[in-house]
Amino acid sequence: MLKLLIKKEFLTALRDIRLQVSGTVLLILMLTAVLVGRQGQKQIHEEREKAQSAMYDKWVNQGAKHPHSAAHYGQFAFKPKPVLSFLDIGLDNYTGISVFLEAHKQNEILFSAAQDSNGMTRFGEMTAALILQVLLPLLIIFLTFNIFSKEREEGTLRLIHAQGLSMRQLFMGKVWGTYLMVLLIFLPVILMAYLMLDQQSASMDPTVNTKFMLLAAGYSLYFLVFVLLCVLISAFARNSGISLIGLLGLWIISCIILPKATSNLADKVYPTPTQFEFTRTIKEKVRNGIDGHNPSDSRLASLREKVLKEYGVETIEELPVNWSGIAMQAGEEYTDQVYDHEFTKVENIFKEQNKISEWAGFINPYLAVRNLSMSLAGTDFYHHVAFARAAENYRRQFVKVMNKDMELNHKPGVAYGDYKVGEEMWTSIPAFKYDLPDPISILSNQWRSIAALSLWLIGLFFLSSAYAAKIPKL
Amino acid sequence: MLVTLGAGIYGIYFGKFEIDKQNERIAFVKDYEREKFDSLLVWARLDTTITENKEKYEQAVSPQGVGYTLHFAYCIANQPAPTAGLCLGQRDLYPSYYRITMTDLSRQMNTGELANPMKLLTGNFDLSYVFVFLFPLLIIALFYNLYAGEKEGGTLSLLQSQSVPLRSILLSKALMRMLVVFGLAFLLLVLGFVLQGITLGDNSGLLFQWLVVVFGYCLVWMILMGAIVALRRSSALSAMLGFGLWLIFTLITPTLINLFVLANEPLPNRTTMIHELREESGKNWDNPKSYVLNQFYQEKPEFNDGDSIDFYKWYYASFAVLDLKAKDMKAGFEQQVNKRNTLLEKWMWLAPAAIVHNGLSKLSNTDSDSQKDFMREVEKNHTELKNIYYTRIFAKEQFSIQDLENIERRL
Amino acid sequence: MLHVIHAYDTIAYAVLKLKIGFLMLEAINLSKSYHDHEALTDLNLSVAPGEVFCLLGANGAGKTTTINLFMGFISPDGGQVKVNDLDVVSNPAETKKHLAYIPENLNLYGNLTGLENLQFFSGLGGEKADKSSAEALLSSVGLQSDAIHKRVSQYSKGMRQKVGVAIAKAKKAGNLLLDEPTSGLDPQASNEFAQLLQEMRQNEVSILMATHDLFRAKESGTNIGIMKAGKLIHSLKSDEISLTELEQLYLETMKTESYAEATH
Repeated sequence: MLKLLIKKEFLTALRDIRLQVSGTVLLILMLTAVLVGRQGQKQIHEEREKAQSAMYDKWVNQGAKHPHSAAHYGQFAFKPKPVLSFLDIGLDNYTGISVFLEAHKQNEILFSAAQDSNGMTRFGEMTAALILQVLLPLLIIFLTFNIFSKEREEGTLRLIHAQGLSMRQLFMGKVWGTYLMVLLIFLPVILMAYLMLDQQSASMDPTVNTKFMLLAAGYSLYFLVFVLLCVLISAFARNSGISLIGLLGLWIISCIILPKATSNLADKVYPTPTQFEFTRTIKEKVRNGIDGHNPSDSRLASLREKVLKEYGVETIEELPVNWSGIAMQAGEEYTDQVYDHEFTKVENIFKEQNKISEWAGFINPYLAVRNLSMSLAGTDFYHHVAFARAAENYRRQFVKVMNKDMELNHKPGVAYGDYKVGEEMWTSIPAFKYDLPDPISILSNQWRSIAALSLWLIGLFFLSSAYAAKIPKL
Repeated sequence: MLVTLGAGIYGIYFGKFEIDKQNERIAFVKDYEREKFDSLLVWARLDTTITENKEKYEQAVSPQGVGYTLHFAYCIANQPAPTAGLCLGQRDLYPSYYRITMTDLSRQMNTGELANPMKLLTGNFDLSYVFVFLFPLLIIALFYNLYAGEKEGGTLSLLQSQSVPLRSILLSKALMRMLVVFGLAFLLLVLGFVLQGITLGDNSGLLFQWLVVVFGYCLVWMILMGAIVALRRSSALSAMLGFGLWLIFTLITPTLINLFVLANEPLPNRTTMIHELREESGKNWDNPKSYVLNQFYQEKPEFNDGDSIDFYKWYYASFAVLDLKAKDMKAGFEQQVNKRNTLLEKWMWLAPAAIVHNGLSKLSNTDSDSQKDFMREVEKNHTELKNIYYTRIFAKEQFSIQDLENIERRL
Repeated sequence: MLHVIHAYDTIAYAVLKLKIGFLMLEAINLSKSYHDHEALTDLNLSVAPGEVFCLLGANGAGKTTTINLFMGFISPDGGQVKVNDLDVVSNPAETKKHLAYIPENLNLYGNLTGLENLQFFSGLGGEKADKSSAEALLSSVGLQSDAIHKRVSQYSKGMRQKVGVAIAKAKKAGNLLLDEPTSGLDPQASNEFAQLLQEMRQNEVSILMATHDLFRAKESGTNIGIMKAGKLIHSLKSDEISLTELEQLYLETMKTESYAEATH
């Protein structure tokens, strides 16, 4: 019975010229988005790889110098372009792409694409995500807005009912018929996207297959939610016109208006601190101590005492190790501590802000799938922070190595300019490498969005089984 | 219509909220820096016969002390234009102020404002957004059944039986709806101006420009809808056609253009600039002092006193030399960026929504060009600031109270 | 005199019901109202196998409401509708099995062919018709063979009605409900339709038909009921009355209706 209903929905829809046109347009858009997007992703990925290795080369070939000078010379970390980012560009245009890593200082991740573009960028990019999240639901609306009312107006609904079919059976037939049609468009394109994955960048992320599957599954879930919602609304709408207006209104509110309103609200509820405050607080806390009662002078004095005691000597000059190296590393570590403290604070504010949009997924499935998709594509805030942390850890590591070398090998009495290390030391620092978060951490980070989608699905199935029998037949 | 009105009022409110926040930040930082500088002025006026004061006084009047050791920074703000709150444009992407010292500018500009990228991505719900995205929807909703509504409601034959031609009846209906749209736009704009605290009297020209852009845009949509109505198709099809146009012009064309341009014209790698500057900075340190000073004197012959060994002269000249080199590099990047933006602009005609949004941003000085103007202003201020310092440093003089007051006036 | 016939009929059916246990289609004290308007008041009627019960009456008299109640499209406010002695409200699925239905304006799926429409609907009815038997069925109801594979959107009303008949026939149900099936058909198509009814009647199908066509009712019906304002005013055997008498009776009933309306 279900098969028969699905077949009929398929046939009638496939023979509808309006759906033929909009379906074809959508398919062409999808193909374009995937092809061009993938090309762009590959190009950017290669460019960043090249830049990363070129900058590492500079580090290796910086010539013989004092290790602390080298720490000042610094290194760069480039954010790799995640392989799945061509499906969902997410925040990529709005987050910085590289950071300069040097001694004493946590630099900002700079140069977002949006800053270098004109106002056009704010309209977004035609990616697969945009099509799947925003345009495909529109196709679903066009497929379903009169799926019941037309049959009601034409009288075929009576005939179907006369044949002994219950409204519940008919409802499910229409849901699955529409859903299969959506999958018919979605699956080939997503499969093609999978086959076209840039292998070179895919090799950077061993879990890319799992992420891809999860992404496809997330979207499949979203489409089912949307199909159920649309069929349910159209089943109870008085006529096709009302159903179309209602569904389009719903689409405009959930895809166009609510996302903006939500993120604006989030900024109001959890105000973003300013960069000025952020840097000033760090500076002050470094100077006066995290608790405000441990100024840097006294910290340094107690460190000196401790080191002198450790080596059993009276003065710095008598130390067998380089005092500056020790002091610098201690200062570095203290700054790191303060920085972590402040950075986590800001990060938490942003997380709270983003949580509002994740919670909003419970009232707007579009937001749920948007957050989930971004996350799996590796282009959400979580990934940005992961990169920032990885880069900062790398900075700490190599600065520490430089300081340690200075402490141990730059013997007291040797002038700064006379102690030099060379390539052997530079190559002992491996090039920056950043592993994308694994799927499990992504999913646990996105549990709200997943829960929201599941709840929508369960709720809609529940609603339809409760109310399908009450669908008016006349 | 009520929804549009509500959205418009929310947009005005939100834009005001954002701009007030930016103004607050700017005021806060300015006050902070001024306070710091005021204490410096107090030091400069101290009685130096008292020994404890001597050190403070010397720091305050030493160009090196003021400019570098004391970390005194000079805040240059991009004050929002009157209507910035109605169209936030690109403002949220850039810092609304820079704190600069007289060291090299190029590395000081590498800073941003803390912003949640998620918010940048979704964009601002300001009045311009309501005009660009929601107004066309309102127009579609008002116009789609202009003809079909009569036909489907069964009143068409009644209308046709009147002695007035159908065309003029429909035209007058369209005019009524047009008045409604224009009236609402006018109301929202005036409301926006008043609520943002923009005095209408002084800014009537600006209001007029806004009206021209917004009305023009609405008119384009009404003409499009008129053409759809003239096809005399069913109301459902007319609505779908209108909505399809809306999709194409506000969603599909801009994103498609972005897709092609962003994918095919990747941005230049600005990181190389940081790298090259560190190389240059290394050269400044590694070479004899004359390496820097000779370059500096060539550029600024007025400071050339033949001295090529003085540490302070070398130290400060090296910043100027760095900036000089950065300027060339930057020009190269700008050129590449411009090439891309010209490409975007070349195709922009396909996306009227983007054109209008850009136009409104221009009126509000919140577009990327205004940001570039601001950067030039920062540069100019930095140069002037540097001149005050360099005059004293190269003359090996201390700041006079006059100098400090001169600087203060710029704060 | 006519009231006497009515009374006689009621007795006759009661006897018949006793004999075979139940009647195929039966309405008992059926009432239905929309908002404050009473569409049907205390309707009693029954149709036995081999009978064609024709409901006559003006628009809004309650003919279609009666049929819709039998079909379970709407539920009654009072009384009972029974099909094969099963209550329609409490056994919606079971009663549907015994009902075939042809609505007034039969709009099939325009972008499916006649054959596809038939296959779809009969499939829903649980009768999987393979292609050749479906084709045979369609030609048996008089659809031209070249039309069978054309999309229904190109069909005339008569052709669509034929597909409807084929769908009804395919179901092989014991009861057939027809809602003004001949309205808008040309005389030839209408005649073909009458023949089909005759054929089904001979197969012991109970048929309830709402119609405006007095001639057709007299011709094809075994029983005739005249309705007005939700009430069954007259119920008689068609062989007990001539066409002229029927016309007279009908007009008279309608007149009292308009009279009743005027005095209201």
